[in-house]
Amino acid sequence: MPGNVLGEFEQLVLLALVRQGRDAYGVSICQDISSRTGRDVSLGAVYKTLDRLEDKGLVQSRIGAPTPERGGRRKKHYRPAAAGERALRHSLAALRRMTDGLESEWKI
Amino acid sequence: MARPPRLSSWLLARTLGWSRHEFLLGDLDEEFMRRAGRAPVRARLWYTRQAFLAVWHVGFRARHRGAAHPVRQGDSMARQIRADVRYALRLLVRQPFYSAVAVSSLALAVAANGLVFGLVDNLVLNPFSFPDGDRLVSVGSTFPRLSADEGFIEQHSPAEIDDMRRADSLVHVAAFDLGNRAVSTPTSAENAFTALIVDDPLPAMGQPPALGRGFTAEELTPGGPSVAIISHGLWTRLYGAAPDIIGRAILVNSQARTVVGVTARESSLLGSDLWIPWGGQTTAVPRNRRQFTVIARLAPGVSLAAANTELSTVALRTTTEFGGQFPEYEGWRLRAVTWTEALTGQARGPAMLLLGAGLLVLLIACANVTSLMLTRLTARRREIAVRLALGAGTMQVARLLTIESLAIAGLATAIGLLAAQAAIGPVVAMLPNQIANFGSPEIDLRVIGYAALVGLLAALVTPLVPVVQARRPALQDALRDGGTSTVGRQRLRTALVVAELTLAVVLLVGASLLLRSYARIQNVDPGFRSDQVLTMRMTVAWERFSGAGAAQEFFADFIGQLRALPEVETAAATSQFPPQLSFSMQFRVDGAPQTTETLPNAAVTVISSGYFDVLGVALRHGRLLDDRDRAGAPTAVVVNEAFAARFLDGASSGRLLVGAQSTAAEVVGVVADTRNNTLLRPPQPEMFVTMEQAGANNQFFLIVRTTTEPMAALPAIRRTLTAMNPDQPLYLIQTLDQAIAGSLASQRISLALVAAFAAGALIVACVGVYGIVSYWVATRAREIGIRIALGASARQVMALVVGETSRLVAMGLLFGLVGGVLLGQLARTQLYETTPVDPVALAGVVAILAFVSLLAGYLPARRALGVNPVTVLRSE
Repeated sequence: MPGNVLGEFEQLVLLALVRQGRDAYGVSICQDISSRTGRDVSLGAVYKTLDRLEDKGLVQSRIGAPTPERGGRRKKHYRPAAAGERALRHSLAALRRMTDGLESEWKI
Repeated sequence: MARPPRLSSWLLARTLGWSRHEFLLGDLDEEFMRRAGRAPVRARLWYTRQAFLAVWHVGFRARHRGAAHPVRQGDSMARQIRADVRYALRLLVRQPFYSAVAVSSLALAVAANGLVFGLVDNLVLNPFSFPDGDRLVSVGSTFPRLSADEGFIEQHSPAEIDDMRRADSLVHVAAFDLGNRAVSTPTSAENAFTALIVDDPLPAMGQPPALGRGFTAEELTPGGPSVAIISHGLWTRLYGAAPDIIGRAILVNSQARTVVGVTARESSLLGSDLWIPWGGQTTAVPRNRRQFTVIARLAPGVSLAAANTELSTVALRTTTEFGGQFPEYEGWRLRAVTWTEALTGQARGPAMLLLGAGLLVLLIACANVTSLMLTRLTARRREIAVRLALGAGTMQVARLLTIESLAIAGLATAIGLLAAQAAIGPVVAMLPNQIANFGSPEIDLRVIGYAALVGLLAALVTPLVPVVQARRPALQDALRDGGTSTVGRQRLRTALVVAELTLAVVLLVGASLLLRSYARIQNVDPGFRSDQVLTMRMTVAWERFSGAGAAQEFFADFIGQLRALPEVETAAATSQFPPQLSFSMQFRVDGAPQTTETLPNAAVTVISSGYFDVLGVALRHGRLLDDRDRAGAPTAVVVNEAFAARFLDGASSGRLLVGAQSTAAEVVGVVADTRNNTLLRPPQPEMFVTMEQAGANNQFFLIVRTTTEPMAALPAIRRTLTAMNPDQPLYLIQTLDQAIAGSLASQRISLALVAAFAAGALIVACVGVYGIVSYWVATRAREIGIRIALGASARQVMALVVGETSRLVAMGLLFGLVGGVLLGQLARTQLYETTPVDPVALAGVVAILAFVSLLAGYLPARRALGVNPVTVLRSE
C-alpha cells in the first residue's frame, strides 16, 4: 500500500489542479471547488491543504512576480506532482472499485 | 483604488506573518481588487469573512499544532512574560480536559470561599458600615450574683449609664430603650421597631442623617416637642422617599409627630425604623430598672483595653457606693466591646467553622491542581529538560508554571464568583428574618477581593512542588526519552491524592455529623403541637389603653372574636411561646431554705386562657389558669414539670415569691414540659401567669390554631382586627412551624454549606483518584499485558487495579477519620446529641467514600482489561 492516503478535501484540491493545468493558484482552486461542488470553501482552508500537500511532495509550485494589486506580494502557482497524480489515481480507483456492481445510482 | 477592510487586514497582519503567508495574503488582496471593481460592498464582506477563516485555519490552529514557545534570548522581561502568558493560554486551550478539571476544581473552591465570606463578612464580621466602626462600642454588664451571662441589649438603668459617663475613655455615650409603635398612613398601619432615645445616638454612630438632623437637647427633655426620626427604609417604604418629609407630621400610635430627620441608608440602630424621644425623667427611674442599651465611642487615642480598665474602676466605685442597697452589685463587671462584637459575637464560632471548611476545600483543590500539573510535567519533562539544558534558569521555569497557574486561577476565580453570586440568593433565603434584616449578604467588592486573594494564594501554592520537581530530573535521563525514572514523582502524587482524600473525608465527617445531629433535632418531641398554628405579634398603643387592664381587655376581646371565626379552632395571647423564650424572672419558694445567695431564675410566660389548648400541652396535676385568675384575685401560677421537679420536689403545689417585689403566688397546677429553651436543650423551668394578673403589658403574641392551612386564616384575622381598630398593625407573622425552622436556621445553614463543600471536595478528590489510578494503569500496561498473556483472568486484573485504588482510599479514610474526629471536637457546640465518634455517621462516610472512589477507579480498571498483550509487548 503506497504511503499517501488522500483525505477528501485533498482529493478535491488535487482534482482542481489537474483540471486547471499550470496556472492554478489559491483563488482559482477555491472558486473551482466552490462552483462545482456548491460547497463553501475558504481560501485559508485551501492554503492549509496546499501547504500540507506540498510538504508531502504531492504538488509542485512556481513563484511568480509581485504585482501592485497584490500589495507587492508574489503569487504562487501550483500543479500536481507525479506522486500527487499517482495518489489521486489510487484514491479514485479505490472509489470506483468499491462502487463496482452497485446499482447505477452509486456509480461515479 | 479600493482598500480592503481595515480591521480585517490588521487582524491578518497581526496573526499571519508576511513571510510565511505571503501568497495567501497576496491572493486575498488580488481577489478583493477584482471583486471590488464590480460590487464593492460584497467584496468587503467576502474579504472580512475570508480573513477570519484564514486566521482560524492557518494562524490559530497551525500555531497550536506546534505550540513552540516563542521566547527568544535577549527579549525584554515584559516581552518574555507576554510570551509566557500567550504560551500558557495556548496550552490551556490545547488540553481542554486538563484545563477543565483544573479550572473547575479551583472554581468550586473559590465559589465556596466567596459564598462563605460573603455571608460571614456581611453578617458577622462587618455587618455595619459606621465610619471608624471599630471604635464604636457597646457596654456589657455582668452580675455574677444573678447569672454568669453578659448582657448588652436593654441591660442598664439610667443611673448606671451615668456611672459609665464618668469614664473619660468613652465619649458620645448615648442610651436608648427599644419598643414597638404603630406608624399609620391613610392607607395602612405598620408596626415600626422603635428606639426610644435618651441621648442622641448620631454623634456616636458618626454617620450624618440622610435628611434633616438629630434630636436637640430640648426635644429630648420630658415634655419636649413631639418629634420623630425615621429610618431610610421606612421613609422609602411608607412615604415614597418624599424629599419634603422633614417638617411633615406622621402618625405614631395615632399621635402626630414632626419628622426632623431621616437616617442614612447604611446606618442602622439595631434595625430600628423609628426613633422618638424616650420622654421620661431619667432621675425618676430606680437604679435596678435596667432596660436601656448603650452606644458610645472610644475617646480619641484611647484603646479598648484602656477603656475597660477605667470601666472596671467605675464598676468598683458603684459596688462600694450602692452594694449595701442593691446586693447584686457585688462583683459587678462592666466591659466595653466593639458594637459589631456585641451584636454578632455569638455567631463567630459557626462563622469560623464555615470559613475553615471553605479553606479545606481550597486546599483540596490546590492539591488537585498540583497533582494535575505534576502529571503534565511528566509528559512535558523533555520540554522542560530542553529548556534547562538551553540555559533557562529555575526562575524562568518557575515563572512559566506560575503564569500557567495564574491563568487557571484567574479563570477559576471569575467562574467561582459567578457561581457564588448565583448561590448566595438561595442561601440568604434560608436565613431567618431577624438575621436577614441585620445585614444584606451579597457578593460585594470585599468578597471579590477575598476571592481574588484566595485565587492568588492557590495560584502561588500550586506550582511550588512542580517547580522543585522540574529542577530535579537528571537532564540526560529525560533527554534520552523513555526514561521511567518517575518513581519519586509518582510517590509525591500519591501523597497528594491521599491528602485530598483525607481533607475530603474530614469534610464528609463534618457534614455527616451535622446531618445526623440535624436528623436528631428533627425527631425531638417538642412537647407541643406545631402544625396548623399561626403566630403574630401585636403592640397596642399605650396612649390609647392607659387605664388599668385596658390593653388586656382589648386582647381578650380580640381573642374572643377570633374564636368565633370559622377558620379558627382556638386562639390565645402570650408574652412568648416555645421553642424560644427570652423573658425570665427571679423568685424563691416560700419556706424553702435559701441554699445559695443567687436566687433561682425561671422563665415567666404571661398568657391568656386557651394557651395550653392552642399548643396541645397536657395538664398533669391541679388545674389550668382560667377566669378565676383575674386582676385582684390571689395570684395563681401554673408551672411546668421541670419547675416542679427542680424547685417543688415534685409536688404540684407551693407558694412562690416572684420578682423584685416578691409578689406572692400560689402554684395551682403542673403542665407537661415543652422544649422552651430551643429544641436543642432540655426544657427549662417555666411559670405561667394570666395577663390580667401580670399587670401592665401592651404587647403580646397571638397564637391561633386554625382549621385551615394557617396562612389562609390571616385575611379573616386581619378583617376582624380592622373592624375593631383600623390603625392596629400585626407583625412578626409566621406559622409555628416556620418559627421552629427559624430557630434552627444556624444548624440548617451550616449543614447545607458543609454538605455542599463535602460533596464538592469528594468530586475533586475522586478526579484526583481517577487521575492517579489511570496513570498507574498506563505505567503498568506492560506488566498487565504480561499477566494477561500468562492467563490472568479479568477478575484478577480488576483486583489488581481495585487493590491499588483501595490502598489510596484506605489511607485517605484512615487519616481523614482521625482528623475528622479531632476537628469534630471543635464543632461540638454545633452538634446535638451526637458525639464526634458517632458510629452511624462515620460508617456512612466510609460507605460513601468507598463507593465513589471505587467508581473513580473503575474506568482505569476497564482500560487495564482492554490492554492487548501483543501491542504492549511489541512496543517495548
